[in-house]
Amino acid sequence: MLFYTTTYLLFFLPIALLLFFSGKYLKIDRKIILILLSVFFYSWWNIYYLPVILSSIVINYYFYKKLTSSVINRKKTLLIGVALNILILAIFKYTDFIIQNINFIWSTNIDYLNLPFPLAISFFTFQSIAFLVNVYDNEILDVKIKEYFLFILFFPQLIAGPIVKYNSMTPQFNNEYNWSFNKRNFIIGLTILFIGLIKKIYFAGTLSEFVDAGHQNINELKFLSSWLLSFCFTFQFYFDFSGYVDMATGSALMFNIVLPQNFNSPLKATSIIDFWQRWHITLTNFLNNFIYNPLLRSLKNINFINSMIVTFFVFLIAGIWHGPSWNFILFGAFHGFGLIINHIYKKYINLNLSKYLFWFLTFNFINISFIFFRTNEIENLIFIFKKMFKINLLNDHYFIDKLFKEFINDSNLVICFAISVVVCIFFKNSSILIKKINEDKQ
Amino acid sequence: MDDKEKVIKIISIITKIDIKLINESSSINDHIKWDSLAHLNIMEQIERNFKKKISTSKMSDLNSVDKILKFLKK
Repeated sequence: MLFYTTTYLLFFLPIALLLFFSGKYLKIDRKIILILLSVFFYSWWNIYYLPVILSSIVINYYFYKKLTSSVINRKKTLLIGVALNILILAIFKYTDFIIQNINFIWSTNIDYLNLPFPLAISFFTFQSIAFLVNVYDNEILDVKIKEYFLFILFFPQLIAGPIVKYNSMTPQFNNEYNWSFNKRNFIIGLTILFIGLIKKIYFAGTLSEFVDAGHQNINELKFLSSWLLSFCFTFQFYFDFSGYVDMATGSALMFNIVLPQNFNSPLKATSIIDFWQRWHITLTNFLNNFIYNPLLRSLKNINFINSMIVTFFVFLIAGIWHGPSWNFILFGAFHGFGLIINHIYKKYINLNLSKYLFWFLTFNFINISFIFFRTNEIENLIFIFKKMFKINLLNDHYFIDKLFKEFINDSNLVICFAISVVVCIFFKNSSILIKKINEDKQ
Repeated sequence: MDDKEKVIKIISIITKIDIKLINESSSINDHIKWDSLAHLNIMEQIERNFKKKISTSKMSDLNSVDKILKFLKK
């Protein structure tokens, strides 16, 4: 079930809220209500995926029990647990990609397995790994199975994050104060949900029509239309993803649950380092805490060169995590390379230049990187880049081509694009509302 | 030298930030030289000097002098 469907907005969410807040009268444990609602939410998409996520929960809970019941071989237990999570993800998500590459390299003809791709597997795998590492570090103690079920299944953050930590979620689920209807949280949650809905339906929806048309008629792209297409996708991608996360955040808040911030006006970033502190923040934190830090610490010397090598490797992983395709690996490599240049600049050059110049450079870097994200055919990628960077001033078609004319003639699209630029670059973001709630709570 | 002075000294030595510019409220966001690499080295030195293990996943949370001191008091 997707957040922007009428099924969710008009039926599932109101019924879920009604059931949750009437738990007192129904005398049913609120956590059980949320688990059952989340199972229903997940199964709505495809009930055949349900055994995968439930098995993953049971397996990880078993490893939690093993890690807490014995002091012997804890590291080995942790490594097996983490490896098993990665293996489950790899089997379902990457098997056909591996077969495709084997077939290409060795000219073999191995059949694809066409395994199902269980919804949200990338997210719950990362959450499960983080959970096991935290248990190993003794940061998580005394986990009841229903609490673990709810931590993984809680429907607002199940499909597309944010990636949450056990210690930040479970105390909220257990807090009886959160089991009563809170008018203020409900109104703010509904507002954030509505903001997300506008981002997703109006902005991402309108821009995606142009982006899809451009990619379907890729041969018609010229200099100006290829740049325009890339800008439209950058804004579409941001509105799509952050809109979805806003809907998740808003939904959770209606149940008095505060999810961590995942976006902080990323298109205002003035460096690539800054961008990753603003874009998909919970993924950046995961990569930092559970891959970058342990890998760098495992090396003999924690120095600049090793740190840059690890950074590049981490972003290759981040790239492939987004999807089983070479364009995602290239996306990760491009950002890894960009971050290395950014760190070298910061360490050795660091000129005192205008922040607007840095913003301009960063925005264009991000914009170009998103082309990797959108275009999964390598030939198309090369074609778009050729069009973007090969200028022929004598040819009028480079400036006013068919696609560009279509854009100009569609007033709705032009208005949407103009508002997108203003909103993303000059407006404050919805997370400010969340911050206000947190400040008031403290 | 108390814990606070020790922590500030470690941060100053590793990041090369003037010790006078670091106080209890200083955090990773306040100084450009206190980056992720420097932070990892700070954590290693805190572990060695205070003989207290810091889990890798905890390191990012200890991103200010205040938070480090609270962790050390536990």
